Amino acid sequence: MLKLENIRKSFGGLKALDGVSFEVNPGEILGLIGPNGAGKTTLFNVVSGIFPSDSGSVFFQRKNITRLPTHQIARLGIFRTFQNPSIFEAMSVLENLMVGNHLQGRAGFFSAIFKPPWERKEEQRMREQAQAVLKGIGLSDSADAAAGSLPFGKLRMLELGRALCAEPHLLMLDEPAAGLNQRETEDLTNFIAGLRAKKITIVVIEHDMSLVMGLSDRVAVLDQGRKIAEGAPQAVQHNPAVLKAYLGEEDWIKSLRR
Amino acid sequence: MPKPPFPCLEAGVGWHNQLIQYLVTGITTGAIYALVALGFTIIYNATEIINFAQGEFVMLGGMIAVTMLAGLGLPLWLAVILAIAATMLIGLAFERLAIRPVRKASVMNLIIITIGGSILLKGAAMLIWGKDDHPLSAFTPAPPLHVFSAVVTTQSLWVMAGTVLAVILLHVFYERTITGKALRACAFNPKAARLCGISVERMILFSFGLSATLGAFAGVLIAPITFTSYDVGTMLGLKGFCAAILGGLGSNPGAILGGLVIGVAESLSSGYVSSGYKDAVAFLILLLMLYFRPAGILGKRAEKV
Amino acid sequence: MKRDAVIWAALTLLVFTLPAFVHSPYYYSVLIIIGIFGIVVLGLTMLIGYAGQISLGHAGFFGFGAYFSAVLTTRFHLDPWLAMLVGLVATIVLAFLLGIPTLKLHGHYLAMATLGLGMVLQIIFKEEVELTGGPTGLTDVPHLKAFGMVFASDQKFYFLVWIFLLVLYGLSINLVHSRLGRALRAISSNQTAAGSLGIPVNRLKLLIFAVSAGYASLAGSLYAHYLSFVNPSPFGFLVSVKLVAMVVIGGSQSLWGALLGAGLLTALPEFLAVLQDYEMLVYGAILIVMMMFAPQGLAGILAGLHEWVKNRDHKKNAQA
Repeated sequence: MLKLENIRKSFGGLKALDGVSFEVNPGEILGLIGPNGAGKTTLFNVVSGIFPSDSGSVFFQRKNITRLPTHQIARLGIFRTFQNPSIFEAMSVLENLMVGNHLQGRAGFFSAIFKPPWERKEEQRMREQAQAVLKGIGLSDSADAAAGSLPFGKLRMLELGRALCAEPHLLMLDEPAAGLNQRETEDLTNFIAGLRAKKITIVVIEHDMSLVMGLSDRVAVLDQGRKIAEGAPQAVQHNPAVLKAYLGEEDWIKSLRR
Repeated sequence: MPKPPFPCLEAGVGWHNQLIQYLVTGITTGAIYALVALGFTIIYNATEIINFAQGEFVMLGGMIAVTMLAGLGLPLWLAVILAIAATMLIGLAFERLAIRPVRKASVMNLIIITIGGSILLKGAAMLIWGKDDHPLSAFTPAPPLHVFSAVVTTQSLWVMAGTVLAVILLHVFYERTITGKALRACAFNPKAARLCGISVERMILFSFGLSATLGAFAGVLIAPITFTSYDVGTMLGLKGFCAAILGGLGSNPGAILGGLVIGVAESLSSGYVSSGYKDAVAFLILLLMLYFRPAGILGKRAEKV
Repeated sequence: MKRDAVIWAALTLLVFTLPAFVHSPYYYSVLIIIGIFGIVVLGLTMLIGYAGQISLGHAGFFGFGAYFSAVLTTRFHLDPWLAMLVGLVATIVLAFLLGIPTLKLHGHYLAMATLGLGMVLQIIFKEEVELTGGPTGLTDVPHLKAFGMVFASDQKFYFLVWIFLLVLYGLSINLVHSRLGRALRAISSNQTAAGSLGIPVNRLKLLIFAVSAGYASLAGSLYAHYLSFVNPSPFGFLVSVKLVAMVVIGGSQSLWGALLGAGLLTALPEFLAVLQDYEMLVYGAILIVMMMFAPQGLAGILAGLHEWVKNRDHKKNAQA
């Protein structure tokens, strides 16, 4: 479904990605792990077109999307969340979700200012769709609250919901559990597992190993801009290269072994 | 705002004779634009803010020098030093009072604040000095020199020498002094700089002071040639900005190069094309640049959002 | 949406009842100028508050529209409405030409580019004497006519301007509360996130920039027909700054706040003649102080008060 070929990206002298290749299969959940600074978020940014790679290609459903701008990549059905929840703080919770719906609507400038009946119907439909997602993420009570006023855990859910509103084919989650407490993490894990039934392909960057290992069909490991391992969660956990990459990060090794 | 034409423009016969003359005037004004552009660059590198009040620093330098010299009867050298020092203090005060309290604000809010600062300084200058043009006497009263077929006033030489001196001092400052290195570190990576014990706040304050100093210096250098008035800052600021973009925003050599290119282009076009549109030249260059090479001549990459 | 609709209806009511109380042509002239600046500021608010971009050249677009109307009607004897339309189209084209290279860059590029454009337009107004009449400008711009009516008196022109404003205000409300309006607010809040949701960030910024320039152009045409003469002086840099100050003082995310700002900054100097010399000082101070202490403007302050009163009532009710 998604295929990366030999992606390189450097910032100044720093090689953030140094020839990364891998594939994501339709319908699977792929865990992307690696020590801090391994290049995971950079990889998401390259795929979603936020900054282009220096060399290499990205294919999505056999289409070369390497040089496409961000919004066109979204048009193909690739959506993501960010490490720091990037919600639109001044807008209401429901409006945030309706921005997620953007591509489901077609009203342009003239229909926006003259509001023909079909535009009103479309607005109504988008609102209902957003409300359904709102219910799914359990935020119905705060529909009209300013999104910026939500507690951190709910921001994460809102951002996830916003991406879901867009009806993604491929969903990329950048550390969705970071900053969440135990209970919130469990809820999130269940929620993501539930998405599998909707045939959404998911790539998830996560430091919480129980989440990654529990959810993922396969795991890919990045270290210093290179892919050092890929495979079933169990196999990766015992891969010597992976253990070496995490050397010095004792807790990590423990969590890997767990 | 009509300014007296450069007196030296009348000299010389034939287009090639005039060419040298235009180059001399172009380099003189270009040097001033370069100093203004450097002022933009210094603050931009430290804060990523474009300081829309940069041109007002130039205006203040010239105006305060005029007051010190003609109003208080101080000797020229003292008037110049005091004018620069006073402008530096204004720059520091501006940062301290209006920029630092809102450091976390969005870029747009910061832009609006520097625009407000610019208008405020301009309005204050109008109240203090009125709307008239003010002359500043040339640094040395010697008669103009004749270089090839061009007439070069001694003040032109002062401008060029002053700019070269400022550039050298700035270079030494960045390369050799602890503060200069710290400033560069902040520009490169504020977080890391902070971890090394550099006070980023202090460096931002410092960059405003330095930038105001450079602006004021440009202001006193140019005042004897073009006269000065409360409203010269907007145009000088705009042209300095064009120079900074042309050279590549954030690059010191780029700022100097950009300033000279714009100065010369302006002088040539006012000589050979139309003097009425002289002030539009810098802007046209800026627009063409933004279309074809937004990163500037010496810039490495386009600064997209 | 509901609140905006109520404010729109209230304003409409006000516009049509006011003539019952106002009789002096002087007050009409102030109201007309407020309406004209109000139209410019409606567009500028959408640019600043909804697309997160600043223009320091809107007085230039305003002047561009005014000069198009004046030149085409006096020199080429074009129908005033047609001239207005041509000016509108020309201004939008100009905005696109300027916006295409600058809007994909950081915000300060557009600010500087529009500042430069405003300066260049001033130069053109002054230099192209054959066309524009140079510094003295053009006189005898004809009156607007429609439905057998000539908009010559201040009262008639008042209705014309304010009907224009009400229509444009209504369209702006619709735009702000549409799919595109949400997309624009998303852009001003977080461009990267907006782009990742499929919003064509640059294209929408360009659209709203062109729309705001178009509003300014229409206002300029009205201005030329109202005064029946144009010269370069009302289209300078200071007016651009004044327009931005109107938006900022009213609250950049609120259309009615911006109208309030236009009203305040137009009416105050009229009634406080002392202010004239301090004009720049006041605008500068407004920009700095509002940005430092009330970045949401008067609209934000009022909303805050409303919230506070509501909360207090809630508490009272809870205690009772």
